[in-house]
Amino acid sequence: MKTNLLTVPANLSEPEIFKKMLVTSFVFHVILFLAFAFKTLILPNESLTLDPAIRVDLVALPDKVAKLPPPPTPAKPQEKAIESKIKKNEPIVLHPKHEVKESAIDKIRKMQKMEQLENDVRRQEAKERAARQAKAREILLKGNSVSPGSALHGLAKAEFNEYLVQIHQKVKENWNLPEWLQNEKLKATVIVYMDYRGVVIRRLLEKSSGDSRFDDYVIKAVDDSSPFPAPPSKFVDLVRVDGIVLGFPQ
Amino acid sequence: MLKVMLFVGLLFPGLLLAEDSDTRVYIKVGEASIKKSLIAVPPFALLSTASLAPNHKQIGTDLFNTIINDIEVSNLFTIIKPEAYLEDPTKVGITPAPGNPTGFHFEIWSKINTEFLIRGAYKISDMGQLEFEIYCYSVPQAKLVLGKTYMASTKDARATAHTFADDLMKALTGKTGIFRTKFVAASDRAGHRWKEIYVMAWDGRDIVQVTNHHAISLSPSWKPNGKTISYSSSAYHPGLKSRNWDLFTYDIFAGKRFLISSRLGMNTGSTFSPDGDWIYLTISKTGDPDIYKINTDGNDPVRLTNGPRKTMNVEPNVSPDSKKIAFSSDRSGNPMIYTIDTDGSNPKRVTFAGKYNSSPCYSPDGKRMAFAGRDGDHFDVFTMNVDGSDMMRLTSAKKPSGRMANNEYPSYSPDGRHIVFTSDRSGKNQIYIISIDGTNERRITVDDYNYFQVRWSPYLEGVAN
Repeated sequence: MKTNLLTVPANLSEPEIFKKMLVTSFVFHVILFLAFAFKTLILPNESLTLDPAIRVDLVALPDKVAKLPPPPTPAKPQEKAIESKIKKNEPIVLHPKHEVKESAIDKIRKMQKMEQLENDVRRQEAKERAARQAKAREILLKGNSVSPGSALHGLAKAEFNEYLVQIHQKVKENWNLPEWLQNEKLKATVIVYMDYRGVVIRRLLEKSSGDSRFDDYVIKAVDDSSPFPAPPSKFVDLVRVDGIVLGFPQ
Repeated sequence: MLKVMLFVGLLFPGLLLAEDSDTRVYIKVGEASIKKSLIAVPPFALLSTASLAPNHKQIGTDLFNTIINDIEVSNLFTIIKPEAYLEDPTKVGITPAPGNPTGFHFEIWSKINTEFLIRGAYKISDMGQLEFEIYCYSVPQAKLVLGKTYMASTKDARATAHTFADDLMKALTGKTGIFRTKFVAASDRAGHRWKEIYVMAWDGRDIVQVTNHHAISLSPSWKPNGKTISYSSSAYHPGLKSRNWDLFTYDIFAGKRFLISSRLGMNTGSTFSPDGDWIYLTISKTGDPDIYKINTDGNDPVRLTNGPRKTMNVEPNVSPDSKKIAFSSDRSGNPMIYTIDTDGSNPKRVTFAGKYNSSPCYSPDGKRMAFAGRDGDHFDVFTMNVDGSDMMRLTSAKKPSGRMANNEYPSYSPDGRHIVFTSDRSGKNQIYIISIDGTNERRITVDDYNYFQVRWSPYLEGVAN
């Protein structure tokens, strides 16, 4: 009777069966090991392709921004416009401010702050005066006669700057152009003279853009801005005599 | 003189001193706000003729309506309502007083802030010839801006009105108007089974069918000379016993059709180079759709994109300076907009947002690009700088069902101020236009057909009608 590794004779005892199965298992494992060793060492390996990973970030597309066109200018009769301007020119009635009761400590603190501020301004003015005098001495050496000038300084300068910002805002509100003229990159300057109420008493197209249509819109912006904010009392002469130059757009 | 030394510019931008700042106060006002000009367009007078045919008044109405529509679409004017008029236009002449004793008065129109006034009159001869005399005045300047007399056949009344609108734009802005331009689009007008190619005026009128393949014809494109279009059609090939997407060109005025490329697979998405000497398109003869350029005879193919495998590179559009090609590709997963140089080098991904971006189109100045983008369940039209920055959604509309509509296939007008696209917001795929700032959106076609892949023509001034 033929036998092989997998057949178990009936006459074998249990220890002998166990031994035989152990040998069988060992032989299979050796064959398996040799097969893998042969494949790995003898047969050529498949090339391993390494594709670069693609990272994709999902970003949402922007929403539609509601860009409403400016409301059309209502066609109003000119008489009405003049009427409204006259109303604006009426003298302004100043009402007394509400008196707020303050504690004595608050008042002292405020006074101290005011004093400190005044000292700071005095120091700054003294410094600037000294600098001017030094410069004047330097120039006088060359034979020139230099006056101290009348440039604005300190609080006056700040006050005037604030006023100019108001002028700028007012004229900017009325500075409109049709699309085709805005694309032309035209420039014009206007000198504006105004009275103590801010009403334009004279405007002069100092430098034309070369396009009469553009110049007309520039003049219209000035006219529509009148009256400008009333100038502080100390600058009334400046805006009335010297005027303010407005550059459209620069 | 009081010397004013200011350094306001540091604190308040826009308020800066000029070079003569030591003597004068100088304020830089800054850029102006854009405004629409107020324009008055009273109806045109019909000058009496010996035999007044019933359609003569209708011709005047066509002239008037066409000019009003053109002016509104220009987005440069606000038209003054007739109720605001202080002078009855029917009782005064079309030229101003005092030159014309019975003429209109500038000062009366000035009272309602009129900036421009258009006055016109027409007469029709017994031979059916239209004579249309029309003027545009600047009211603040009391000056004539444009005055012309047009002679045309009465059947060309609308074309005459478009010509005046173009002349008006030229006189005011220095740039030619778009009112004689046209659209080309695919449509199912001839029957729902097929799609043919149609050419129409930009306002959706005068629709003309230019192909009759009894097939699906798509992706039409204008040659820069405005005389020829290219398109693709699923043409039947008896030898193959199947259909193939072939590329054709069609000479609109000669009425002749030419087969340009019938390479196996797709020959679609064509666009002309700005000089008209080359056609850029998608060809899939190798299996994958890639972008090629061929000459206008279909020869000398040059492959510009090459894979990656199993990806598509489609819908090329050439920049106005002929240096770049924008196209759509799914090489990174989702279809996005890419650019390459016209020799195929220097590929660059431009869009990263959304899930599906397609059909890019350069603006005429080459600075912006329009495309259709999808991030939810629908497409919208977007514009962006050519490097992908400053992206802006132009469209957002709902269908009658309440679901969001698809807005696709944007194409710039030749002046770069408008974009045409198709939208299914009405339930049908119709043609719409919108200004590049996303305002002034208008429906152009109003019918029960569908339109696809609409393209705006170049200027057609001087091109025979």
